Amino acid sequence: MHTRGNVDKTRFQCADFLTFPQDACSWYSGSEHRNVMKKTFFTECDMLQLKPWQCPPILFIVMGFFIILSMLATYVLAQRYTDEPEIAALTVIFITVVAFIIGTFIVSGFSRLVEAHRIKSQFVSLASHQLRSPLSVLKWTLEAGRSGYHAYSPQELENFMNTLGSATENMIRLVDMLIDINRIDSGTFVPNTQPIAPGELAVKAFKHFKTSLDASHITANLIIPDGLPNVHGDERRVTAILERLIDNAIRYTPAGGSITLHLEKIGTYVQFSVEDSGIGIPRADQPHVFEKFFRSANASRVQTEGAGTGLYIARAVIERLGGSISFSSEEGKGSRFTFTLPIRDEDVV
Amino acid sequence: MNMEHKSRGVVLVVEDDSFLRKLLCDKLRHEGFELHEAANGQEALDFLKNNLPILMLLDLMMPDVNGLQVLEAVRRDERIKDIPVIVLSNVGEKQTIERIQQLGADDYLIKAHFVLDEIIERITKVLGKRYI
Repeated sequence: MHTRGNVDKTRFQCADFLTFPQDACSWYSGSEHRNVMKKTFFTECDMLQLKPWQCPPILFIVMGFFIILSMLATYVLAQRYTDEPEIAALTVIFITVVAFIIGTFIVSGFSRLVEAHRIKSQFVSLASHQLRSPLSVLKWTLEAGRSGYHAYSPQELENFMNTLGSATENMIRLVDMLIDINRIDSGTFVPNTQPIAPGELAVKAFKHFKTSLDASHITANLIIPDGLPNVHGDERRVTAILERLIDNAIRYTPAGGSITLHLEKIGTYVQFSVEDSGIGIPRADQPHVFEKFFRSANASRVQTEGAGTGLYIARAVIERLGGSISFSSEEGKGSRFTFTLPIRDEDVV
Repeated sequence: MNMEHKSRGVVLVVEDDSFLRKLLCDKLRHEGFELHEAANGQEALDFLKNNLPILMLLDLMMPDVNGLQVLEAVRRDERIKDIPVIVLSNVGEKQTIERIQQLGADDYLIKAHFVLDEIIERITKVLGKRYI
């Protein structure tokens, strides 16, 4: 019971960490973890996120037992049916077929482990690169401020402080995003639900981008009908999704273009749509837009920063909140992303 | 610091992040280097058409023409192929680093690992190797 308590504690610590519990735990809790964790085949498979019938260590034991029992059975049958050799032959064929099937499961288990390792490497590479950008801003700015090799004006120093603030915010967002991805992938992601006033949320998100909209010379339109009912949602995450869609629209819309945020009630849902007159998404890339780590080639050419995770998280959040997310786009003309959130039962008219 | 290297010509700084470019250039100017700034790969290639910098500090991830494309173009061009190039990026993927080495970059620095003083040291070292 005591050991089990320790195991659960370790798993809880790791659940908040990045992707793969086994490695994450080893790194997170170090030797303590190795001491308290009583390793059994089942806990090992659990840590590898494999079901018992997919887990190579268990399958090898099953196959070992099966082969031993089969040999005994063959021996008994061969003794009993000495004058009918086809019985022994059929038994051997049967054993071979079953061993082959178990072997296939073992190979498939190893393939899953290799795939998990590949995704983990991709994830670590992405996380490190994305975190290094704001970290280099912090490091260089602090050095510039401390060393005094250049006489920066009060205005420039204020700009430094604002940049440090943005870099810190970026890192916080990145870490939140990485934790969300881990929870989505491990099936433990549960968004909060609370009543949200969609109009207020949209105005707040839009205001957040006023400076960059002005600086980019993009015309912004906000259409919110009166009397929109409250919706069910996770306010922090829905705000983040809306801001992500507006941010994408600004990034990929050239100067002189336009962006429209439109809210409307459709049945028992409120629909949020963000439409831009930007570079659009190539048709060939469109099926992959919501895939993790995907960025279309034309987007990468225009904007080097970006992890290809925003829309992946957005879809997971919106779907878990009972809504849906979709888009339409034409390369060179623009894109329109829409998502819906259910109206609270007491507000449905 | 060897002032001789600094008086030989211009250092080309290719960096799309305007804030990082400013910090880097302020530091380099303070150290006595003459600079030309490029905000993307295309600006760098345009500058290289008529100029021969003594060294290029090159970011990798930039819009339109990225750092690898600039490095490839430099090493292909007989006139400018010997320019020392220090790649300054946050990309740490093995494949990218191997490609940079194949293309003959003189050094590769991860921005987040180095302070500006250390970058100046690396620049001086590379210039020292080339001009001794």
